[in-house]
Amino acid sequence: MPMIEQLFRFWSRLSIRSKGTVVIALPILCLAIAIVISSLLSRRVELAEQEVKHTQEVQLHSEQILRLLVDAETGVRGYLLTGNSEFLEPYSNAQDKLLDAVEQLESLSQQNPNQLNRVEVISKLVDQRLVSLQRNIALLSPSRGTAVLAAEGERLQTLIRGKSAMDMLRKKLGEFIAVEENRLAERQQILEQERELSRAALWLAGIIGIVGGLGANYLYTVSVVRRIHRLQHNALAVAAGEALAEPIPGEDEISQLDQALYATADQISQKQDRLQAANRQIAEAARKEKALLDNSLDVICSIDGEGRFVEVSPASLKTWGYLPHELIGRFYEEFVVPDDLEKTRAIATEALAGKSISGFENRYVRKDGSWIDIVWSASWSTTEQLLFCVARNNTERKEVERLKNEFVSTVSHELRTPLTSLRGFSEILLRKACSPEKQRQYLTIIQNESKRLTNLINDFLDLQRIESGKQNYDFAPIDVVPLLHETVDLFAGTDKLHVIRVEAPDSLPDVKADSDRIRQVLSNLVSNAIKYSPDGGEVVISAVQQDALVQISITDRGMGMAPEAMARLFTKFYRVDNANTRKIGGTGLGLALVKEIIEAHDGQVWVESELGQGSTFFFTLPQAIQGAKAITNGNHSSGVIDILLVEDDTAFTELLREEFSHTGLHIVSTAFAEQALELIQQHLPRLIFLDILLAGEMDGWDFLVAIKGDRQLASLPVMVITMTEPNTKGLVFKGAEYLPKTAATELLQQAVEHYLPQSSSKVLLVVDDDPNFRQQVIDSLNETADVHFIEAENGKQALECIQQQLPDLLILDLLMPQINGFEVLQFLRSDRNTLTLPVLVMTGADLTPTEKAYLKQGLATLVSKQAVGTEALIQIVEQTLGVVGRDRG
Amino acid sequence: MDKKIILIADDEPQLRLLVRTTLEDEDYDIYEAEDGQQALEIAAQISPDLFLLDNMMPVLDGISVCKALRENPTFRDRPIIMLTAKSQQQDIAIGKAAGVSHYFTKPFSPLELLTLIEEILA
Repeated sequence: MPMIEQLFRFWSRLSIRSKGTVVIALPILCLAIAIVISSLLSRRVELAEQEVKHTQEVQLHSEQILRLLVDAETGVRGYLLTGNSEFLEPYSNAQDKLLDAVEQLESLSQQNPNQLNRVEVISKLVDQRLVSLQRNIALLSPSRGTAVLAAEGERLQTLIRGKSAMDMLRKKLGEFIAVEENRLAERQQILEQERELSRAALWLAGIIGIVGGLGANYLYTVSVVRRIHRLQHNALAVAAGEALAEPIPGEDEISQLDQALYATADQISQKQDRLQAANRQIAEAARKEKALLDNSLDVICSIDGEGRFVEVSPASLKTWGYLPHELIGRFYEEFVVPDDLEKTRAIATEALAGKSISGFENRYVRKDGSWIDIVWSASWSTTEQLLFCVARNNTERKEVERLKNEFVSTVSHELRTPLTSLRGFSEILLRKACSPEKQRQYLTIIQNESKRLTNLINDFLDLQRIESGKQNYDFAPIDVVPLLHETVDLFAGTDKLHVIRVEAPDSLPDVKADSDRIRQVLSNLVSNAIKYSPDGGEVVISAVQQDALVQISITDRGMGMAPEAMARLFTKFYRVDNANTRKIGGTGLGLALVKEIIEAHDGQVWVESELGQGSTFFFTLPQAIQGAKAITNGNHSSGVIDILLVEDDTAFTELLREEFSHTGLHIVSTAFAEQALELIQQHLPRLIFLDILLAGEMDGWDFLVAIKGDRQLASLPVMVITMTEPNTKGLVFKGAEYLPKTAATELLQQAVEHYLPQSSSKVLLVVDDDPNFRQQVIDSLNETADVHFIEAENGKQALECIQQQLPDLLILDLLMPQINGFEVLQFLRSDRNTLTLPVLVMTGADLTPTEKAYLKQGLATLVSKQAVGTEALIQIVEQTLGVVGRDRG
Repeated sequence: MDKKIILIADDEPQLRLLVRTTLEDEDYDIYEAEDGQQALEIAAQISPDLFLLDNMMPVLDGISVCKALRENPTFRDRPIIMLTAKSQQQDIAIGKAAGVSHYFTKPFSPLELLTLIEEILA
């Protein structure tokens, strides 16, 4: 067996050429062997046939000798009897022929010593016979004379001797022939055998040849054809990108080729993998690009070499008023404001030549015919033969720039004017001798101008402080009426042109306000009223009570203003543009300041005006609630009120407070319905517990009427706690439930659980299309105290979840099907309810600076997906939710 | 010799007073205007030898007054001093283009102004 194995291994190692040689050589070899065998055998048959022929010749010659001798004998006898020499003719004929025949016989027997001996004997006998015949003839020869006749007896004797000699010869020849015949028989037998053998050999050779051929065919089939078929199969599989069959064993060209195919398939699959990965990346990049393009506020577009729009992002509608398809195919030049066309063409030529353009400003004609300031960035792509452009609406920036320039100019003027007086008059006082009256006049001017300068600077600083949120208000209940009179006195002293008066009842409810700031507001508004009524006239300051508010107004009979000016009146730096602007002066800050201050008081400010008829500025201040103070538990900086308790029974308040102390709910209580309403205005509570009997003027029913009458507040859940069974009066209010005060606190607990289902826990919405990742996030945050998780697998679901229940925190993936994270963020930030919803973006993708900026703009915190399970993530979540981990709590 | 006539146009009364005080000891006739329009009207009547113009004035600003004066053959070569809070290069360029002879930036020194006026009118 090992030998066969070795052979097999040897065979498998052979090259195709060697195998082919073997396959061809095998039948040839078989054929050759058969030919050799048959030729050898036919040679032997030939030999055998020669032997037979030889024997036949010997026989022939022997018989010829005998016949010649008989003829000679007969002739001589005739001669002897007749003496007629004519009888001697056969003898003389036979004499030469005999010698020939004997010679022939000798030559035939040359190789057979036994026969040669016999031939010599025969030859001797023939010679003797011839000699004796000659002697017989001589008996009658003429030399002895015709008369001499041998005695008859002698003649007879001679004849008898002749006969015995012939018999002898006959016997010898017979023996000789017998030997030859024996040999012939033997030879013929051998010849027959040889022929048999030859036939058999031919058959064998034929069979060997067929077997060899079949064997060669088998070898060829097994070692070449089948393997080539497998190779072909594999090659086709490679071509079709299918899986390859088992590798072909062996070490010849076919298996090498097969190995090469395997390597090729391997490389192809690797390349395919890489290609697929690359494709995924490209697809992802394309998705991102699309998200960016679609969401960009700038118009992103491409323009071909001839100046036609090829692609335009959807922002074109907002910026230019055209839908992208309305622009594609048209020339960008069509939309350029004619005055800007020349410089636009010049810059476009540069851009098409490959120069990167940024910050190029021109104006575009919108679809409605209006003009819009655009700032362009552009770069030419040689590969795509397109000019890629970003067009940004520059109107606002231009306007801001204009306002700023104007502001700088105004400020410069406003600062320099008093400074001129200060410097000028102080110099005159120093250099010139002046009368005491003059001195006094100049010093008064210096003093007034210093004040003016101080006020200006104060305005700046105030606005600066308010805008940066650093302004502290000292709110207290104050009466505004004295403030109004104070303001009038302030101006009446310096202004003789106007009649300034107060119109207000003797007493008004106190307002919650910072008196210094309200003085500032009044002063600004009255000063404006004076400035904008240069021809003099009345300036009326009035105050009236309106529900829970006090409304104050300042009316002048001055120049008034156009509606478009009113819309922007409270914008910083804005000054109504008219011929008197310069004379009127001002920094453009006064009304901005007024607005900031009033809004900080939870009030409103607005203006009513008619051009040429004068203006009235209104502002409101909330009434202060006397003797009431909201009690709140713990330190809840967020300002969210979970439960508002409107109850004058302090014992019951304390009881409830204790009952819910463990929940961490922010409970605020007040004994006044009025204050409760004020609190609701500031911070919408999630649930209200209401007693009917209250400390203030309003009772629980009044409060309920106020709440349910307000469309925005009507849906607030209110639990009315009563000493008695509810009467029919309360039942008309939907969304209010009644609880007997005597009921166990258990009922209150149930109510809280019902209305504030996750009252004690925070809701965290995890949005990711990968369920494993969602689970990972949940697992890693499970330790965080009382977090309730909701999951969504795409942006659409997430938005639906948010619609149903606003979570406390959103963990958001960016790349998701249907609606991606960017879009979710965009939706959230465009809705007032979700504007401040904390969003934690967790992404595995590398973000571009633009995308990062976009997220930052969307107030999202960016965390890498790798942060899952780390302490850092837990900390971020805990901080955002304002909770502490269970194990740390 | 007649007194030189100076017209001062400024909407700020203190400033007009300042200029008047600066020049009161000299032998000039001083006229005042509260805005640009008034300045042109007065100029037409009194034909001043020197103009002192504020730039930021109601009705008609100093630059416009300056241009209007330069278009009038009578005043084409009269010296005009611009008194202005606008001190940026661009503003000065605009003033020069409008025909301003001298540019005086607020706050200014009255003595320097006096010196300049005496130099011009000497």
